Amino acid sequence: MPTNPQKSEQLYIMADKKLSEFNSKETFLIRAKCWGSYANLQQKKDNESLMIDILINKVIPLVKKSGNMEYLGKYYSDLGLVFGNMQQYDKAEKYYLTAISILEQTKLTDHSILFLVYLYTIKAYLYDEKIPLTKSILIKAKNILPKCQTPINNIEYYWVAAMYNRSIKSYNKAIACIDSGMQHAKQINKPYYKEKLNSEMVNILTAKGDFKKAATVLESLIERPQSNYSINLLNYYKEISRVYDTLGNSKAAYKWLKQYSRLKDSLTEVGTSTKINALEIKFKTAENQKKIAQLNTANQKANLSAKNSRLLNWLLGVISLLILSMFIFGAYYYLNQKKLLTQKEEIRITNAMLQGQETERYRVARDLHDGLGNILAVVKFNLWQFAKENPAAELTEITQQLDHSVNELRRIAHDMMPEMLLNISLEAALKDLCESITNDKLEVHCQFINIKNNIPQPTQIAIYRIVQELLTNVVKHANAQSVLLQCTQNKQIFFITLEDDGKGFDPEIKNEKTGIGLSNIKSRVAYLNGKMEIAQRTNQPGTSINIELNVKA
Amino acid sequence: MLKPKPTLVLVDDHPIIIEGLTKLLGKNDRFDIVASFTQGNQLLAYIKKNTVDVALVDIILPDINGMDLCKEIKKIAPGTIVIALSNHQERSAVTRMLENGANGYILKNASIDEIGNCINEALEGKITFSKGISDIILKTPFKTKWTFVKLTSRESEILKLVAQGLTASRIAEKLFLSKFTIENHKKNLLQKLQAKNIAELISNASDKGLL
Repeated sequence: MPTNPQKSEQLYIMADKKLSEFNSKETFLIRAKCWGSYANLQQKKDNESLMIDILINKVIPLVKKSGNMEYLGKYYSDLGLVFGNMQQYDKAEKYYLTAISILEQTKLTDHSILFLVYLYTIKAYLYDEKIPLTKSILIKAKNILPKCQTPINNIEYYWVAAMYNRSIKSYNKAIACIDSGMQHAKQINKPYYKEKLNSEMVNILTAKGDFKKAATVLESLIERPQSNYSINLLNYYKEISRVYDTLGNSKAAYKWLKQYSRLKDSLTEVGTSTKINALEIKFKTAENQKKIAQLNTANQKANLSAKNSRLLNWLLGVISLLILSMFIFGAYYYLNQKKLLTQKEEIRITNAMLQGQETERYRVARDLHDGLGNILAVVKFNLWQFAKENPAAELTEITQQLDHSVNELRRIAHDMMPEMLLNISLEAALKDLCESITNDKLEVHCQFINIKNNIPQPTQIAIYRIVQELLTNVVKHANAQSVLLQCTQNKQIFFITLEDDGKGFDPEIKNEKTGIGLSNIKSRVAYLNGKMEIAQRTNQPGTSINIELNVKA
Repeated sequence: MLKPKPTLVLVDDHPIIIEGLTKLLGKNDRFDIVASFTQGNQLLAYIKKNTVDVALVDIILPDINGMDLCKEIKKIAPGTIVIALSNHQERSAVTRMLENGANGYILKNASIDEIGNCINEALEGKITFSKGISDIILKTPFKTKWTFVKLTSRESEILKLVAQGLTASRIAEKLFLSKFTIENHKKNLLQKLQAKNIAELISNASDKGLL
């Protein structure tokens, strides 16, 4: 008996499945055997209908394909056995006969199969009380017995023969059969067969009416039970009690009946307690499963909530990160924008300042020139006249001092506002500027190409201021002997080039002393959307400054 | 028959000057101060009706500058002697006045006698300057020989590259400048060296030893 029937079932099915890929006769037979074994397992589980189904639909078709008639007979007889067990003798007989007809036409390797089918058929007929049909088959069995002489086969034969003889009431023959069977049973040490024969002996004796002997046999059976089956013992108790009752021995009958009822009670109890235990186990299992299910549910819940909280955490993290980055971006953008605005504002303020400066310079220069200058001129006229009429050395000196003051005033006013730029042209004003800085030590080369007069006045003034500042720097710092100023115009671009042969632009001086001057230049270049480039002259000492300005007419 | 005294008018936007000059020049018997104005247009209106021999005009006037005024006067009355009387001593102003037909230029720091002398000189048909102005005119205007072409460093750099046959775009690339700037320099070079095309430019430049 397999220790793990379920596993066996699975393996059988797996084997069948794997073998189904092959189409040889051998594999069909093996598959049939697999299904046969599977069917037997079903019988052990009392699932006879499934067994029948498997035998009819799986095993027998497969055996037919394999062409092995011996096994075909065997499985037909198996089928008959199942129906026999279910007490459907008609069907059982039908399959047995099929099996017999197949096996009788086949050259058999083992005649036991056919022999056993004969015996099964006889038993079925006997149970079905078709006694007349029995005899011919029994003779066939007897004829084939020499071909399969085993003790068990002999025992089986005599047992069936005894049953047959009992059925036809030839009791002495039946007893003789039992005795022959016993002879063979002694050869093998199988208590089961002895008990089987003895049991039949009791049946024969009872049928014969020899109750005393039956009682003796039964008592020996009870005393030396050949098998452990309690159910057999119970039958024996029942039978012996009935035998004694028939014999009129009420006391013995009662004794055995009591034994019977006690055994039956204990059996029932065992059964009940077994059932109760089974129920309890079943219940406990159910309880446990329920608990497991509950735990599983709790676990799943916990997992789910953990997952949810994790998800929530992630979500919160991402959102806060997003907000943070947005905030940072916003702050960055805001600061940038602010910076840009500040820069724009600075440029605007610088421009406004430059404009205001020019306006103010213009006003002051006009006041100086026209106001103060004219007054001083009149003072000079008058003083001169007075001195002419009243000559005195001091007066001449005073007149000279006054001349000096007027010159100084004129210089200041001119620096502040080149009147000729307004009245004549930028070029004229620039020429005046160059001339004003020319002296014995410094020669100025001045070149103007293509300068138009349609440049807006504020732009002209800005250009003038740039040149003025550049030249001032040269005079103050460069220590140069020669300066070249070149101003050219091409459409809307105004080019200024200033070159000197001085000591060059010291970056430190550039930053400190001339810082204000240079930053003024830069402001004005920026005001005119221009570019400025300061470089050392190539191959000769000095500085070269190139400026490009946008002048829209 | 006694020749009539020359007539003289004053134009200055400052009454104090007009007053002072009228008072002091009035003592001079060589001419008569017949009128004085604070605006240029007033003089132009007067001249159209009256003959004026000499006009003393300031350069800076509220309505019209002295240089333009001079031109107008000469258009209306070419015979009128125009003399500038100004606080401005810039060469450009002097030059422009003379260009516009002025007969003299007097700086306002001159003495009354000097002014009188200048007017007399002008009446004699001379071009006259007060001392301060003649000083300026006599001073050599910049130590520059205008015929001599002086190239800037950038220009000589570009001239050499042009002579090597580089295009404006390549030069611009090389010097990190815009093509427009290079074109401008080339144009200036052509003008400075009085050349009509690049070939002539290179030829002229090598003649002058600039390459």
